[in-house]
Amino acid sequence: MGNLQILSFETSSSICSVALDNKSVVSQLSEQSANRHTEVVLGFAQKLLDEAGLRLSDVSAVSWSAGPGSFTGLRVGASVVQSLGFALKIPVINVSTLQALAQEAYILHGIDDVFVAMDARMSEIYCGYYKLGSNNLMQPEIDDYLVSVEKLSIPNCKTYIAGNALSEYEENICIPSNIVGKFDDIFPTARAVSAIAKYKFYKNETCDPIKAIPNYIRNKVV
Amino acid sequence: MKVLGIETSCDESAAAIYCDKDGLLSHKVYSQTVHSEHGGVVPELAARDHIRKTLGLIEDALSEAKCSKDDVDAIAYTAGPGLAGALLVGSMMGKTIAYAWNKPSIAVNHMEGHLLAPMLEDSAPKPPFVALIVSGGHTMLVDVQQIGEYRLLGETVDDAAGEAFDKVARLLNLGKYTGSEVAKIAELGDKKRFKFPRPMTKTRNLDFSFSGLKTKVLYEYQSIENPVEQDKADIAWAFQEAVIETLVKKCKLALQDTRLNALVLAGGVGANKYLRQRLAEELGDNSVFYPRIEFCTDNAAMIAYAGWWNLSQGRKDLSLAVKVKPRWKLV
Ligand SMILES: Nc1ncnc2c1ncn2[C@@H]1O[C@H](COP(=O)(O)OP(=O)(O)O)[C@@H](O)[C@H]1O
Repeated sequence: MGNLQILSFETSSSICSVALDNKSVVSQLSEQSANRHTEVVLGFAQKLLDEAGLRLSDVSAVSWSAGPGSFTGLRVGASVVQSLGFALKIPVINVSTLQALAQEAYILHGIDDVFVAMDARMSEIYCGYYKLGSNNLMQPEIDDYLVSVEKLSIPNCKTYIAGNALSEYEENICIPSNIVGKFDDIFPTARAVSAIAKYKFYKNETCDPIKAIPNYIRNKVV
Repeated sequence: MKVLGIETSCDESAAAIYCDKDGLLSHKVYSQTVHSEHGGVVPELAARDHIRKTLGLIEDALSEAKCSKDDVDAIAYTAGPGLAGALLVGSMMGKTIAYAWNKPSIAVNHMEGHLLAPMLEDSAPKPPFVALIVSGGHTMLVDVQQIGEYRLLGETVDDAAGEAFDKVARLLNLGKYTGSEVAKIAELGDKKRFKFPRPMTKTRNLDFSFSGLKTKVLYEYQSIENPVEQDKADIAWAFQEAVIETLVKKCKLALQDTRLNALVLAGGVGANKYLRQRLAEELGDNSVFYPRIEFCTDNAAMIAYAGWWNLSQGRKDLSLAVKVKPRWKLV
């Protein structure tokens, strides 16, 4: 257990972040880099390895935020982890982007019950509902889903709400009184992906590199 | 020296290994079928399919060539021109594998790949020559003094020749909307019934235009009441003839103007048998070089070769940044 190194990638939004878990010491690099993910992502990985005095060949597994999110962004992540998994002969761990968002809310604010709502453009929202489970990880209460702004229904219980859909659709979303607090500035991060990935790694929830396929949720694209 | 080539610029995912000593060691292509019901390539669907297929093709190409990490000297990938989202997949994969294996990578221009495809044949052309590149996205005549040294002689001012073929296939509602279907049905056509103009052949310049021709074909076809298969075949023949006579004529002019005596044909339309036949008939003393039919359309063999060539010229990239160039011009 002691020698685990996981490299994690979060490229699903306008922020690109990479995290390295080196024997449970987690470091992260991130940048608001809209359309520059392809230009910075591998450099971030190498920089983290350099700072930790590691080589890429020391990495035991790669993980990534597999969606939902920006289609192009997700494919940057998928291309990177498929290739690293293949080239280094190591397993890949797929992590839900919304779970990573919930986990980031936990990391930042200690929130243990959160409804996440991420802007999906075209007046739609990617939603998920997460609660803190064992090992300090946010676990899904329901499957992540896509819904139009008008049909958005926020759980009727004491919970937090997080994600950029709140500010994107501010005028159209009415926050019920049972909501304890809202955080519209939280984005999924590679360190959150990393925390979830590590647990999945030990539970053998890894996959072959070729199975690192984005979960777009929105499949009607024509 | 062995180079892994990766191609994902449009609707073919492909991987290949080229060895400068032993030639092409393997090549794998997957042609996407997700677009057929939409009557044209849907960029988002193309990118999604590349993510599903490309790594498997890379693995297959490597194992068929009996190559492992240690045998590969560099990785070449198509960086443009093409669809941004599609290019991104192959480019990011190529660069990441190169990074993980500690090898150089080479960003290849897709059009240079097409142009160099005939180099993979036993009777390979030697520069200087004139190249006619005719694909779904491009129609151009290039003066190739040396590999890597290109001068544009002429190009289409509107539609590419392959695009015109695709549009006519669609107009005639042929099973698949591609030039090969037009060519197939044209074989049954009455050669005398229709005659379409040969666009831009009256002037001595080397540019092309196919959009007016396409419109003429449309009007002619729409004026037929209840068209049957034979009508389609007759139209297809006359259309194909007009395109091909135009291409042949411009090739002749280009050879005269440059005083060169070899022509290289590349790109998807180069698979057209009638074009090959007419070039052979008309260019008499000049020699014409073609890639094999399967290397006319998109493939990674040509990318691996172009990558090797660029590498042999000392061009390689050790940076970790990927930039796709959807509008990358050859010249
Ligand atoms: N036998 C043929 N006759 C005419 N055109 C053809 C034939 N076979 C393929 N094509 C055309 O070639 C084009 C595809 O070539 P390709 O080099 O893959 O183009 P691109 O890379 O621009 O998509 C299509 O436009 C198709 O209609």
